[in-house]
Amino acid sequence: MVPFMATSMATGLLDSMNPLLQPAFAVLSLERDPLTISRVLDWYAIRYYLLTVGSVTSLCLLLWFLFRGWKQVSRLSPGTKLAFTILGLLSLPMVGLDIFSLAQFTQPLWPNYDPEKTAPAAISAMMRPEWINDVLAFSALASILAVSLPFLLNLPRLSFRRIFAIAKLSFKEAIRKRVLYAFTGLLLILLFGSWFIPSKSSDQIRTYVTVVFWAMTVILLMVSALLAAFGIPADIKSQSLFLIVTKPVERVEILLGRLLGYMSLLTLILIVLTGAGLLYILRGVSPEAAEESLKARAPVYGILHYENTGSEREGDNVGREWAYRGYISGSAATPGSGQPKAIWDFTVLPSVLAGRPTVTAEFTFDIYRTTKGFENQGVGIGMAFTTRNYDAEKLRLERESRDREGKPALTTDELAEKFGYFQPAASITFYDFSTGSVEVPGKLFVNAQTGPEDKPPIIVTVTCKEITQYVGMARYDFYFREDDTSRGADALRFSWNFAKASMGLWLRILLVTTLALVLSTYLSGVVSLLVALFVFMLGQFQEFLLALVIGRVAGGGPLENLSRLITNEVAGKQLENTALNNVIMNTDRVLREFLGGLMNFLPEVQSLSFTEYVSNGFNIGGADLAANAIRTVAYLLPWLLLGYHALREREVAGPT
Amino acid sequence: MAEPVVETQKLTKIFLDFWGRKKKVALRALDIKVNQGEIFGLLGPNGSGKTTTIKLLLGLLFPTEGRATVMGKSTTDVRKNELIGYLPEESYLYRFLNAEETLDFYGRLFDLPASVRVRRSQELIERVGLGRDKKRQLREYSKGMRQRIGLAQALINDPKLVILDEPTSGLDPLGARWMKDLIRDLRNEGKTVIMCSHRLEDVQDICDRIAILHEGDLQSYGHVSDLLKDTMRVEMRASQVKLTPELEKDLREVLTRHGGTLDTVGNPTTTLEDYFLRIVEESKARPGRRFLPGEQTGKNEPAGKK
Repeated sequence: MVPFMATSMATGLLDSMNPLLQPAFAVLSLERDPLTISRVLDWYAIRYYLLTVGSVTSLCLLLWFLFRGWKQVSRLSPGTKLAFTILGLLSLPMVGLDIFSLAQFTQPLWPNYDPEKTAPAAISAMMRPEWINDVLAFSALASILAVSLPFLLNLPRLSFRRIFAIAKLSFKEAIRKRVLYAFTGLLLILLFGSWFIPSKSSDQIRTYVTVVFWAMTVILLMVSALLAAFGIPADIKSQSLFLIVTKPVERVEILLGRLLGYMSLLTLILIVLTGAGLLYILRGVSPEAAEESLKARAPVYGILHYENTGSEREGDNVGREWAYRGYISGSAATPGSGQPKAIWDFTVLPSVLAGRPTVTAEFTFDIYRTTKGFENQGVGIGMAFTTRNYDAEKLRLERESRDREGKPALTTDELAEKFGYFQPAASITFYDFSTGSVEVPGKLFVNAQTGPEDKPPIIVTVTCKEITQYVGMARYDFYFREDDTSRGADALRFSWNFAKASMGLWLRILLVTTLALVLSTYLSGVVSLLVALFVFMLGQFQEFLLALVIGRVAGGGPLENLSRLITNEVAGKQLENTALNNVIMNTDRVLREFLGGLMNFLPEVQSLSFTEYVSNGFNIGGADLAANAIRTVAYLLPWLLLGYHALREREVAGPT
Repeated sequence: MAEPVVETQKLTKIFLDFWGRKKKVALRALDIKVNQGEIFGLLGPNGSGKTTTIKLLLGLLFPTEGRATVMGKSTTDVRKNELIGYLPEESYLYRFLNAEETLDFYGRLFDLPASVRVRRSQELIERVGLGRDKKRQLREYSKGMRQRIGLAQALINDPKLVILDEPTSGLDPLGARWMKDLIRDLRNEGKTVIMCSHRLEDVQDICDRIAILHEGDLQSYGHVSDLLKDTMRVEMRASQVKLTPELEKDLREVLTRHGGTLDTVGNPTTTLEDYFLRIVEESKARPGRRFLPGEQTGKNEPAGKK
């Protein structure tokens, strides 16, 4: 949602500007670090995953034991019974945690509850000692294994031939039932889209990429949800499933076969649509658009912090509603304090940069004007690049010595290589929301390769040169380009980047298909479809849900909002301290605790959308894509386990 | 004594509503055994529990109480299905597939290698008489043709136990006769057949043993011949003699001497099925022949045991 808003806002701004002021517009608004595999496979991430999944599996074990009892276990073979008993006993700490968490969720309803003194469940979980979390993670793993035991025992009996047979059937079924007709909608958009899509020449690729991906996403996700949600329920209704489950077919083979079949078909369609979309986008690209977006910039980001703004982590707040950027002014906040600075520390730099004559640094800042300034003239900023070996005093002495001895001034390369310093110009003029660039000597990166370990290899300092203006920046507004900029527009790299964005879409299709399919093992087709799309949409709006959980939504929780609706109270006003209002607010706190817990079970949907990258000509990191793929598969595994049990435990036939 | 192919012990199925309340007792404490190589019939009116029994044996439903084994394995064990062929009442096949694709699909579910699948598919297609229609999608098939391909899929794994739910339902007399002959052939090949039907004449024709169910309870169970035998009556058939009042009188006298009475005497009639089949056969043998009012078609032959 946020990147979309950023694009809309920026496009609106651009429309109101003189076209001459748009040399480039490569803004990638990110509010997250690109994922890396090491972050996903980090022990803390794995432990968190185990605790989240384990909280459900241990609860299922407890409920299963309460309702089915030991009688079921006693029917198992001796070996299985022993394994199940051991795993069940090891799961007890997690069962205890479940009961404790449920009690903790409801603590706002306890007598003598004080919101000021009692930490929410999520916070108190973070405050647990590490070793307790490790023990709980081990217990969670045991409970997951206990729940997976029937599946694990079935594993040797699975046959790829059977899975493939069901996959092939699903594939044929979709084709022969003319599901592909749905994609003629996309054809219409591609055929006649140009009539309705306004675009400036430099925005051509950006607009087309957005439209093509939007259409592909909507159609593919709807088709995948429809196919997956109705496949098994239709088989149950028509009783075709009778003839499958009366063959030596494991129920999980039905699930995997359906998934494989649908995903094969949808992958094939996605490949065709990606090809068609690329042809549509790349035909007749204007030179301005090619210069702007027909590339795949590979940015290297630093870590942003500020000086003399009051907070090292935040710039000045100029009152923008969307607080993505922090601002620095051209003058000191108070007499005697230093000039505000935005500083990027580049702690990791690819070695390839040191081998280049120059490295391109690009930046996109926002201007917040306190005076009108001059029309169509940008704002001046100062920019300095220093390495960890830079010593201002040493450089000053060298310069003085050269002046005294009448030697020529140091060249840019000498400054960079020997002193680790580069300053492009005293003042660089840039325009609001447009991309500026600076060619940095490669020697600077050579200098940065070795030096004190406690300092970042390269530091970039930006100051505002005009005292009446503010310059706003976010972490991702400044980056070095790892890709070779001398190649200019590069249709091949762009196409590969477009394909990578399609892989992101593929992961979303996998998400929706699996969710709908798993739900359809127990629910009817329509309900499965609605629930799958609902879960997907909740995943899309995680940011809002988080705001709701931490109590940052105006008007409070659902009950408080309802109360305000009835009593006609405005959202900003504090509720009176009455007994009823206290009950309302404390009940909301309980709901928020549960919602907070529920959020752990929502999919990460936002991070699978890479349209913004392609449309603005930014490379999609392979590691980011791979890490997201791992995360998506990890998210879906417990769902598949749920589907396996739902299909295994259900009677496929009814009374008639 | 050989282990029974199917055995149920106090097999009970109670359907519950959403709230877990008892909705219907579909089957109550059923105890039956089906032996190898026999044709076993489940009889009963609609809602008597025949199909529920079959679904329980196949693992489509789970028993509420009691247990059932099929070839020594629990009904929830999918491995038992390797030796079972099942033909449901309605043909629940995928109608977008043709006959070959259908048999190939079900063959794959039995994990049969490609060469075996192809060979058996062709054999079965010929056996059920669909050789000329094997490339047509099943949606174009008549009910009888679907029942035939349904039977072919039930035999694709060369099963030891064949379960048939209303196998002759919806078939014309020719189809029904063909189905009954095929069921007998299966028994002759050493397979065990369980069928349920409410067409009593079919069951009487081909079943060795039967179980009669009513409202979920087992009412009668045993060999057909034993169950139907009426020891208080005598039936005799004679040939080379014409029915005359003198003969009837003599018969009455003989029976009176033995303490019995003559209830009925007359010429036997054939069954309508036999008569119909003979007409069709004659029609095939003499194409273009038409029935003229008043003409005696065919020849009344005494009804004999087939």
